[in-house]
Amino acid sequence: MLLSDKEKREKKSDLVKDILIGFFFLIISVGAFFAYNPADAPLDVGTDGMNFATYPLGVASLLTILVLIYLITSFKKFFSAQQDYNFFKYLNQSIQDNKSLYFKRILTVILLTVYALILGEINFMLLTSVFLFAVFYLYERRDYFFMITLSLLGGGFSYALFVYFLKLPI
Amino acid sequence: MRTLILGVLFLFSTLGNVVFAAYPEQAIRVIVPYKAGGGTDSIARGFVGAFSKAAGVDVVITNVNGGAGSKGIIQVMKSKPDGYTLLLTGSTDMIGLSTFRKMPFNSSGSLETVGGIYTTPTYVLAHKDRGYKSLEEVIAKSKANPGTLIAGIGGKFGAHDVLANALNGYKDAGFRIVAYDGGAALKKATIANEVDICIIHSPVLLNEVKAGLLNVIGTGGSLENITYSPIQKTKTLRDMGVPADVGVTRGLWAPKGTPKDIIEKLEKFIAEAANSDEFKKFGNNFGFAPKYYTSSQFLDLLNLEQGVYSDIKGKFMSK
Amino acid sequence: MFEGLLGGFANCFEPFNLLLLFLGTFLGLLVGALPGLSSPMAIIILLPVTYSLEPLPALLTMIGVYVGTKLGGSFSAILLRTPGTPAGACTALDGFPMAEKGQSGLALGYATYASFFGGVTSWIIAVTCIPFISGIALKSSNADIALIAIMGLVMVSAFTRGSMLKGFIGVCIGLLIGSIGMDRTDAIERFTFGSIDLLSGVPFAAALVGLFGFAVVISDLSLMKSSSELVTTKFKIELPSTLDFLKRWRAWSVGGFFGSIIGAVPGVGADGATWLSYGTVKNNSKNPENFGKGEPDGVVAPETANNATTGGTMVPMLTLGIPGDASTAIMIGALYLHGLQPGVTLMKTGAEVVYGMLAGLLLAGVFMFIIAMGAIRFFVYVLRQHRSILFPFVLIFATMGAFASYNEFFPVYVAIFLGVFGFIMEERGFPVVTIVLGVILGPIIEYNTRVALQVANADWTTFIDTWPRILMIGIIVFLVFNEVKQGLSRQKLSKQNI
Repeated sequence: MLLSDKEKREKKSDLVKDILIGFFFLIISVGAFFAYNPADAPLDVGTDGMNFATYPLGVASLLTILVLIYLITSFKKFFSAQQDYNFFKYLNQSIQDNKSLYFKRILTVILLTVYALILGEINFMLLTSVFLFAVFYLYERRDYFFMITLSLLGGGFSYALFVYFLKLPI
Repeated sequence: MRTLILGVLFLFSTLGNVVFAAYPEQAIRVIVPYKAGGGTDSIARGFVGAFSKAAGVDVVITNVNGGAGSKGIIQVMKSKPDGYTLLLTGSTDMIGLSTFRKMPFNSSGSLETVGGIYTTPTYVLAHKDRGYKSLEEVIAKSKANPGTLIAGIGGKFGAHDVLANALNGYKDAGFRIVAYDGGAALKKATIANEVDICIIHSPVLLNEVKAGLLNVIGTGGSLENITYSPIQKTKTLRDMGVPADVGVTRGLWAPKGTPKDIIEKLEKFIAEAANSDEFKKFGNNFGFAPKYYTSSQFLDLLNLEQGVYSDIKGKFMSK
Repeated sequence: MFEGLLGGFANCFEPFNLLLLFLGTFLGLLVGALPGLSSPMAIIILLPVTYSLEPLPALLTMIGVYVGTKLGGSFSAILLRTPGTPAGACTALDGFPMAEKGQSGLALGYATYASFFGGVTSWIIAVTCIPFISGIALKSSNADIALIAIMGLVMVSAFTRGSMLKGFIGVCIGLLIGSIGMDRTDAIERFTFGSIDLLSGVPFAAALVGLFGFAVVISDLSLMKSSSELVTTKFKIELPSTLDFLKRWRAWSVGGFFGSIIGAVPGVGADGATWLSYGTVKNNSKNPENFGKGEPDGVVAPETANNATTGGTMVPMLTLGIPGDASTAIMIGALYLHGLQPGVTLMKTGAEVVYGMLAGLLLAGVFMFIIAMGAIRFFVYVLRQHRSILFPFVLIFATMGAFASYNEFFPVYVAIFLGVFGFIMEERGFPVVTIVLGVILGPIIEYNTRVALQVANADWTTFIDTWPRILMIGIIVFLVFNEVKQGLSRQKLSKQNI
């Protein structure tokens, strides 16, 4: 198969990402065996032949097996792929290429979290308008008059819908 | 300057009194810790119309379900004690949670009782096809073959579970207790004749009893106020020698620290609403006549029920 | 029965009732289209608003909302990939690719036709076979529900565009997430780490909003630079003709059948039926590889099933007082508030209201069709605005939708977390829809299996006690076998290509 260098690098980086996420799932599936709260409850078998731990541990076992298969196949692919690859170099390159996209994504999550955190404390309409404006700005809009108008309208509409009509306790 | 400060302070202090004197000035929010459409929610919605008229302000219901009712309770606990956030739930629902689970609240100490509005005992039903005429008959049959007869309940560690365990404990009945996920699931199982006996709060399924599909064979408390005379004299647990009254009283609570005069005002409104024609009409349609408890009567009731729960838990229930 | 229905229609045609039904349907379409808002939410609001009305007008409004949201949820699913309901998630699989190809009018049109057809079919079945439908609701015991849910889960390969292994991993993760919280049978906490907030598990609306709202926004930020494919200065929205729709009879007949029958099974209705329909139509299609890339049958099947569940949920509600889903549960509460007694006697004591509601169900479908067909252009116009305008609003609605699920902020944080998690998974090729499938169906499977076994005293033969159960187990075994075979042959093919 004739792949360019960039494609080979990306393929290998994909595999690295696959392996990383595989390990993440492995932690979840194995962690389930410790986190299901064995201390707090008796493991009496109920009249159905099962107890509270049967189902989640069954799923965790299945997940562990599947994730191990996934990791093994990913590792096999990784080692049989081309050798010239440097993870950190790729990471740097990728960040350079997609700086603005990563920035937008991370900041969207941050803005959302901050919005949720202070939503109960500050006036809903005001906060929503400010949030809308901030996100418009983040998404590279620079038509300020339109942004301000839409933010205010959006804040007002949200207030009318959620607080006045749906009577949510904000 | 000092005069100014004193004047402002005086103004604020009088303003405070003015605020209290004017309660309620805005909408009161009643938190129901269950999903919309359920038994407690329906009773709450039937009640708030009359409550709103008595209080002279809007009363809004907010459903905060989750954690078997604990999330709603905790939300009210954390609310400002200004009389604008109240909790409406069942007495034994609150007691069940604090008796059987590690909760950051207890039924009598963590909230102020405001009053009780609707009391119903937990009763025992059986499908007509099973042919059971009385609870003693079922218990005898179950004793003969322990573990074969099914007692369906609406959820673990609630009033239903306590009644079932009281039967198994005091009468050595040997029922196989199957916990369904809430009243609706238990209703369906009962109508479909999947369980031998169904333990559920009255007056749920009263319609089916009236239609002859189900029989009431026992009750955890007197049914004299149920709107169907043929079952009003049903034998209670006590009549059968089980020293337990099991039922549920829906009532209102306020966050701890709510000023006494606001609680008194709320008591007045709730008394008026609970005794109103509107709520009586709703109650009778639902199946049970309303009953009003003052805040101290309600607290006494809670303590009594807590005693029953702890007793049965200690004697007969596993962890 | 027939006279009763005629009387019901006569009542519905009173101008005030007709107006309320129309307004309710319109409101339902809007509410459904807004990501994060759902039918139960809108119906709860209507409870105090309609309190002072007579029972029938009040309930007609709610029925209108109920029917309208079923289609409305698909509009945002198709145009923005942010479904308002879990059933809409299925429509998004093919609906959104169609919109991306510039076929948004076709997709929405097919969805509208399918929903209308599904609603009418299930209505006809419901009113002509009331005892049959009630019988399904009553006789479907926990074992049956568990098997239906397992069938839905096993259909997962229908949604995995590539690696079957990734699909199953996604489902298992969904199953694990679904088991967080208090176990429904023993009431013991699992995976809660002592948190009160997690006692009742991961708030379901938060999972939906996070995995399908936030994750989509985060992911589709990469598409922000390119102007929407739907945008041209002047364009004609192509709508399907009735004949186009009728030609797809395989899709709508499967959807209508599954929806009408499975809709009557309480608790698993709409979600199970839509995915089962989609999976069945895909597996039996002449070109299954087109599914997931913009295949109209992939919109028609789930949409038909979705609305076909309405007859199935309403009949047991009216004849037995058994709710099929959250919306009908609230309607039962509304019946009490209006002085009626839902249960086995309602058809006699409240006949006028019952027949009025049944008539209203059909009329709501008609209104839904008319309004939706007329509104398609409007929706396409609004939702094809630049993503930099739409996405902030999606974020707000999704946040409020998550908040409204428990009226507190914890679900919002869960949604944000799941949004990031879902985005990462989609990037690596794990279809997020499998996680949602696991989160919804997992608790249903576990609870119903355990109760079924408790009632049967731990006797596993209860699962082959009746012929429907044997049939379902047979289907499950066949599906698993089929999927493994397909997966292995796909792997062989990809190895040969290298």
